[in-house]
Amino acid sequence: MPKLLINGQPCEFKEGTTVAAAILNAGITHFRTSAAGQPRGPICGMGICYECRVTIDEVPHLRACMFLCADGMIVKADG
Amino acid sequence: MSVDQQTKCDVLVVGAGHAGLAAALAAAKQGARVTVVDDNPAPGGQISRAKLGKPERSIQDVANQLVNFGVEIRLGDTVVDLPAQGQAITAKSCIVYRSLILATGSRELFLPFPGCSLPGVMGAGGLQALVKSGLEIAKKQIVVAGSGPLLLPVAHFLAQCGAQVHGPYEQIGYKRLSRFALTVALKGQVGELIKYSRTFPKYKPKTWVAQARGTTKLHSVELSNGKVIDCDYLASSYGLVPNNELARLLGCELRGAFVQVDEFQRTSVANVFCVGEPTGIGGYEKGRAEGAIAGKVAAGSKADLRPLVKSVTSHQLFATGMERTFEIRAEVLALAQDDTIVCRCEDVTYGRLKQQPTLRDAKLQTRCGMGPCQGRVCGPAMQMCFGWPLDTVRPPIVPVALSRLGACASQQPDVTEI
Repeated sequence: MPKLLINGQPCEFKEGTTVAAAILNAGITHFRTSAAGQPRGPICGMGICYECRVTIDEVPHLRACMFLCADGMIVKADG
Repeated sequence: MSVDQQTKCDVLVVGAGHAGLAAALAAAKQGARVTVVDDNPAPGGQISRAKLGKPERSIQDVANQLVNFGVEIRLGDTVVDLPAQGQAITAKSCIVYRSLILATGSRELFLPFPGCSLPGVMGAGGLQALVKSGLEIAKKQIVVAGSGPLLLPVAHFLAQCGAQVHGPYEQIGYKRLSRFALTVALKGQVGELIKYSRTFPKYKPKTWVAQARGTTKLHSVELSNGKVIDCDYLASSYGLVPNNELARLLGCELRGAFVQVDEFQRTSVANVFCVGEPTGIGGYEKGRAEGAIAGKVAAGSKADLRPLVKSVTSHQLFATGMERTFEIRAEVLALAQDDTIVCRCEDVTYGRLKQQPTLRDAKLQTRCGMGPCQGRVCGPAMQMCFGWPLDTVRPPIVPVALSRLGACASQQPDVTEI
């Protein structure tokens, strides 16, 4: 099975899984930290709310729900 | 400034859900050159969202037909601005078109309540989308709550995926809920009711989530009847609102939040059509019929439209009935406390917003609706809670790299060339 790194942890994923689903499957619910310092995670699952923003392969502020996992991808969430 | 490869087409369709795909197919069948743009990684829109990247069979069939007609389906791209007639800037390209068909779909209505911004609180459709995208929910405790026809299929879907589902908790009463069941049956969708026969009895009417509890993430939900349920996820939304941003950017006339169209799905702006949820929340069959009309008309034919127009009219009636049935009660609109987050992007609380006389004041004083989502989540919520009307839409309608602004400026559309 292909793997990606989420906060340094290798995580297996099924082909077609989005980064948002993979992060939650890894037990992480804190995707980004809000302006006032609160933990936040996805709510809309469809690219509207921007609550699931994470860093993917060093590009910050990407919506985790809009990207498919790829082998060797490096993802950083805040939690 | 980067100079992009320019795409020229007769018909540009924004959205690859049921309505957009039907529009593209109808236009392509008339011989039009068609381009479809959708920001998702796969076609199907939300209701037929691909499971693990694989579209539903009916969607894949249409997509294959489109490819055979030479239609380009551009996925993972978003229209960010429509700077001049016949010109679209996307996150990745410039497109010159003769006719534009907006099939931008809808999103969930999220209303503020205490704890609503805790990780683990999601939309009903939102959680379903994540599960279809690979989220594992077997044995997870999930509360399904809110309002609208979506809760039933979502609760059914989550249970089928192995989750322990509580609810659906629906804020409307028994009478209205029975009316909903009757309407579905009268619409000839008895099959739907049979499909959901296990979930339907679990409906708890006149019940809603009073608050979500937790510190860094959701751990339980307190219902309006005082009952507390420990859970991993809360799947909660209060119906659907149209994605009308592009139509508003173009200045299309609206009726409430919905885009006004004639029987040919033409908006008030020349050569701009609108189909599916933005013209009235009515489901995929309405979207498909509207798409078929718009595609044909946009490609220059008005032949044999009568049966399609008739179908749209009946679905519209159904849609209006649904909207009345699932009216949001005042108690739900009054759930937010002073420290409840309403604008998630800028962390603006209900307490700060309630002091503002208008949306414009609220924006100037608090920055509500001015973050990355551009008010897509808090805008409809503030409209419901404070009665504030929609504000203007400004390009770019989604966050993009600075280099995209004016990216197509040197490429004026040449309509004679098309």
